[in-house]
Amino acid sequence: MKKNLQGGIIMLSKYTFFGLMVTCLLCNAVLAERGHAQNVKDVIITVEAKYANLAQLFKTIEGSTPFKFMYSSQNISLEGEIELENRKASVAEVLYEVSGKTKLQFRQINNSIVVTPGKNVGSKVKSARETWGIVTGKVIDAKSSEPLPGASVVVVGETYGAVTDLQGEFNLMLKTQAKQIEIRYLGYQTKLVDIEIPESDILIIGEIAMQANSVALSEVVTYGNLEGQQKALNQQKNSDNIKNIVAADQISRFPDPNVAEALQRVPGVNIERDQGEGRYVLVRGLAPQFTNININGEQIPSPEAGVRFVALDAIPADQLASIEVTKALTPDMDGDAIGGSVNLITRTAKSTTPAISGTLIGGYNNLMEKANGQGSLQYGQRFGAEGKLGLLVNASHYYTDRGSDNWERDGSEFELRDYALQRSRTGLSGTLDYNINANNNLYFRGIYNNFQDREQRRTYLFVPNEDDSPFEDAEIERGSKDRWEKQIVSSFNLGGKHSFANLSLDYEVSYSEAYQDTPFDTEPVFKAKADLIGIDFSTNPEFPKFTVEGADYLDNSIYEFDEITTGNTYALDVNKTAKINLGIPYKLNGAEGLLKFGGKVRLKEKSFDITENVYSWEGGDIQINGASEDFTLNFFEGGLLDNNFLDGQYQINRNIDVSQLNRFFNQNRNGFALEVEDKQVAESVESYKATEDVYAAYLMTKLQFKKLMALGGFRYETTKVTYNSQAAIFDVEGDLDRIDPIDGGVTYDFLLPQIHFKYQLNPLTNIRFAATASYSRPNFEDIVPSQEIELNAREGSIGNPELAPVSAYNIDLMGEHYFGTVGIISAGLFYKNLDNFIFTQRYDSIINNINVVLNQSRNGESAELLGFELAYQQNMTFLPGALKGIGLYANYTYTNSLANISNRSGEAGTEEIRLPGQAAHVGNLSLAYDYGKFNLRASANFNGEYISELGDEAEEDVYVKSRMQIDLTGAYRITRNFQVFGEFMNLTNQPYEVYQGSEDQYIQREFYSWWSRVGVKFNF
Amino acid sequence: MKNLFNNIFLLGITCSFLTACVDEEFEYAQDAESEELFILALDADEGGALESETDYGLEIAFQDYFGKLPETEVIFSFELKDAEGLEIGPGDNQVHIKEVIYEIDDCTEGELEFTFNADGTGTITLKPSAEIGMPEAFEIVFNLPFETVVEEGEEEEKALLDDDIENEDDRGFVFEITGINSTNSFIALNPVSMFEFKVLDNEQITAEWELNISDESVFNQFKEALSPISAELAALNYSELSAIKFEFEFEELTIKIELNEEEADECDPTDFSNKEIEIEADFSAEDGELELEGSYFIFNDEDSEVEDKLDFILKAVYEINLEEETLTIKVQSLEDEDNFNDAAFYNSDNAYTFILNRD
Repeated sequence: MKKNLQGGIIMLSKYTFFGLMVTCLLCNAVLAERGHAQNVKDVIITVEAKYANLAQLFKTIEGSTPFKFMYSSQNISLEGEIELENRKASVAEVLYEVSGKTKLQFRQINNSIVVTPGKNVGSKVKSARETWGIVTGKVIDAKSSEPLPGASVVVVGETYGAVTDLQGEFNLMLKTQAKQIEIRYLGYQTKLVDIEIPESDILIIGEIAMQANSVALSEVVTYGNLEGQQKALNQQKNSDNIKNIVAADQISRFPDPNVAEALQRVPGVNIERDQGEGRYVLVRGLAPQFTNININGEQIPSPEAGVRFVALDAIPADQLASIEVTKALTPDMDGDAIGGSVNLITRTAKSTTPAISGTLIGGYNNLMEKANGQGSLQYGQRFGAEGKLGLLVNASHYYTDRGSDNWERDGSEFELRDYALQRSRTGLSGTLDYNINANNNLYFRGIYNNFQDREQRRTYLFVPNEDDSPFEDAEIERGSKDRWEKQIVSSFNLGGKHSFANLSLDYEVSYSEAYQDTPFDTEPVFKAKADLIGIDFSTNPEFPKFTVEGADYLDNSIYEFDEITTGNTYALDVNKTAKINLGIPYKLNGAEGLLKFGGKVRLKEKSFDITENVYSWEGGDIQINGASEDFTLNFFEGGLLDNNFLDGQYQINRNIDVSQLNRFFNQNRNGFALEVEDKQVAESVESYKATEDVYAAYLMTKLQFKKLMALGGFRYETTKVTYNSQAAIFDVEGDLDRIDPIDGGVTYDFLLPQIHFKYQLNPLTNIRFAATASYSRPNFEDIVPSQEIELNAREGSIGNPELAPVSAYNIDLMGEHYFGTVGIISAGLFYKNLDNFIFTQRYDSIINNINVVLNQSRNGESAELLGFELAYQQNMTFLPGALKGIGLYANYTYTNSLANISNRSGEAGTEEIRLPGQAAHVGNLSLAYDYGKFNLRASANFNGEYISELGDEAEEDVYVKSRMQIDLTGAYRITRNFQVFGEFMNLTNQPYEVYQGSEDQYIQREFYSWWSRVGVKFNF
Repeated sequence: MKNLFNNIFLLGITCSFLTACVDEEFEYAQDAESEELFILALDADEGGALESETDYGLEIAFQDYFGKLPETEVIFSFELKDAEGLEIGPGDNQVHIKEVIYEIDDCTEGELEFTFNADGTGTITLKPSAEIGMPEAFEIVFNLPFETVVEEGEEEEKALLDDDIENEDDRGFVFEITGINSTNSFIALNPVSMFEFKVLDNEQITAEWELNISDESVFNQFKEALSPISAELAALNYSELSAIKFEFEFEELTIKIELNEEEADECDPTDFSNKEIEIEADFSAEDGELELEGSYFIFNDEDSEVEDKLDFILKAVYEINLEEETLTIKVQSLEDEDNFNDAAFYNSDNAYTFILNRD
């Protein structure tokens, strides 16, 4: 045992030394002016006539050339004097002379000169003990020549091996006695490759072409082979941790135009929607802020003010090569992801053959009775004889006219909302990569997403005088909102990946920027009084009925101008990141290991600016159409009129044309009075600037013991946050007293231990276990110490700069079996224990000697979350006849959570609640059928009910009701290059429904009707 | 053929990129800061004074603004017109502009230059003063017809409109700002440029009335009726009281509760007057029905600071006896935002009755 350990340590030391040497080599290689290695025959050097030993000679050569020597100190002796005749000669000539005198052999690999013993010496060494060498290669598809990432490369007769990376490449350190390696890839025939490795040398196999399993059928042929998803499942199977990977072709099989909607098909993921379109992602029942969103492995900032999570409807799904959802973190990943980490991977050029593909889509929205459209174009090609330089550019544009018919309730008030939206989603991404050689790759990736949303909202708000108060009126408010919002998310990564015999290195610098620019947001309101407004919410809770006495609510001339709010906002979030990862393979008692360590710096700047102007009218009668008139809505009506609002349940009239009213505003500004104090308060309290600097380092190791893989390590992250904001203080009479600047900051650290085990029952079946620690930083809106305190009302809200992140430990157990074709069945259990859970607390305080009740986000409570997930995906090619075309995609996740918060009833102690955002049941069921050139798919996505907002008491908790959307897609391949398809979404017109307290007490129902798209995909 | 296909699709995609965009057309509202207007507005578009008054002030002020007022001279042109029951002209017995003043501090006033023509037109020049720069507000003081009489050796101004009869015809005039002239285009006038003045007839409710409080029970009734909306009144003892007066002016009532305790004038420490507690409200009086609407402060029990401000409504019926010069008010109900309908402070046809004498 002791001897084995000693051997392991020696081996580790040896390869650490090798690793450091290779690092030096790499630095030289990267920094060299020329992009490729020089030949030893071409480099002339001057040497001394005599050296005390070879080490000195090597040092001289290394000092005056880009070459570095690689050798094993156990196999090679550098002792002994050496005399040289060639004082000025090429490196090759010098080494030839040395070889003749020492029996050593030299071989150039790039800028490395590998030193091995001569044949006579070598045989002695070999017989004395076990010797090791390196095999590198690239696994590709025999037909398309595209690389196969995630392929399993195993040494025949041994238990160790390697997994190909995204470029399909692998490096494997193995015993020189090994004669064969086996390459396995889901959906492909297993391949054996004979090898013969010189001791302490590198064997470069080159490309290993894999043949896809052919499904020979008489009538049914495989349609859209899902090659990407094959790759994804291979990566998923061979990954060290628990993750789901969805490839572009799988994404395109569902009618999901944006990334959020694509993610809803992943087990354990549900989404929050906006106007029927997916926007935020919730992983394993935790709110969006608990999930980390990355592009190409780097966190992307949030364009929205105050929060960290990213609205994923800003990113078109067709920009991506694949999506990874990691559910158990490894130490080399950012630790601030309790729910999970989503990584959006953009595309890379694969082949020297130019590849042009695209889509052209037209569609129809039934509610708006308007068309939508999408176009995308992708070009990718590798250049040069060996395809070293790759370029891929992808552009897409999506436009839609959407809308919704909606009613909402707030207490006794009832509101009708008619939305019309124009949305466009433009994406541009590109990758430029250069393969210096099979083991060294440099890349530059960029992605730019431009999401624009023009929202026009027209409302009727019925405000009954519920208590028949003489101080209130029954009123009807008419509002229009016209808002244009742009969300720009862009990310640029420059980095390199290098694999050497004894070291892997990757590094990257990245810049990502997200901003939300709202150039205009205008909301005018007109009001009318009525004698009586009655609203019956109980007889028909789905569509409450109202009565208005003393006013004709459809007559626009009864509505008088009340106020107009105009403004704009700009939120900016910038991340600058640099990171480096080093991996050193080693052997421990025959087990293959990898020691990995690295560091990362992320500097964030986030800010929010707001302009908000509220005007009332002080100008008396208005001069319009040559007459003096009351300032009423009928003079400013315009825009769309929905004569079938909520399927004819309610009658509405045309509403305010905001642009028309703004023209009047600009011409009559002297009649409008600005609410200066409100403006000062809103703009000073809501705006802020913050910085967040994160420094991280980790150390981890992975060991493959026969069928068991163990991975463990630690990650340390320290975060320094600073803020600049302002506080508004009101006097006892409710007037603004002063606005004070507030600066603050906080620093916190986390040490996150993480361990993973993967046991391979057979090549297609894994059992996984993970115990990980993670955390989640609070939202900026909670920590920025802005405050708004109304002393007269004796209440206020105040930021909490001392707010600590939520910390968690997570346990995951997962079993998965992959099918030979594209398929998987898996089941997993997960448990999360959250500490320092953030909740809003009301507490008493004294400000200016006055008792006030403050609302503030605070830590202190705990939460637990337990669940399981099941997933099944298979093409039924084992079935007879035409049934072979059936494919099934299904997953289901059950989650249960329990959080403790301060008792809301006012009594001491705590009460238990369900975590906001956590749905008990989430799932997908999709049935597909391929027949000849046809493909048909029906998909159902189910989102269980969840709490969206905690009330002051349990009865006031707001729930989003469960929702199941059914979509239908069909496609027909005309030729090898053209395919037409159709998509029909939300066939059953499923509404978005919110209730408060009990299920029959709806407070919102929003309908979108169905929408469709028909298009063509092409590739050349 | 293949090229044709390619071209068609590439053209289609290009078109879709170019055409399908979010409509950016929008009429922007002018910016409140970069295009800030400094708006001058009349304090009211109508008002009035008791017929016994000899002048009346109308305020013109800049609306709320950011930063600093521009120090550019502004010349207002105006016109006094549409006189009813009185004359416009420069004489004491005519309506004209007596002075235009602004506040330098609580005790000091400055004067603005103005011109007044016999036909009622004129100009007012608003310009920065040495003491405070550009005034935020100024007051136009109208001269109401009067004559100078000597009583007990002292000259006094006696209002010519003050009579002992109930006037059935309206008496009043209209003041209109007909234009402003300034080199600063960001100074503007509110569109409401006309002010209508009415003389309030003393023979109606609009007069000054006094409650006879020689009987403590009257005060106790008064206190009981109104202390829900006045914490100061609620804390008052009869012995502290000097007088209770009701001043009905243009749509506004001020109930002044004069105390025995005196206080020095803020601006003249040698001038002492009785301390007063005031209850203010808007009123409407028609067909013998009187309704007061106002607001009052609720004070915190612990720190005695203002905690809330609530609106109230007081309903009553009234009767004027011209011969006896008395006003009888029967207070019927008092409600506020938190106490109304069945929860009203009181609600009875004849909850409290007060007989007031013309002051």
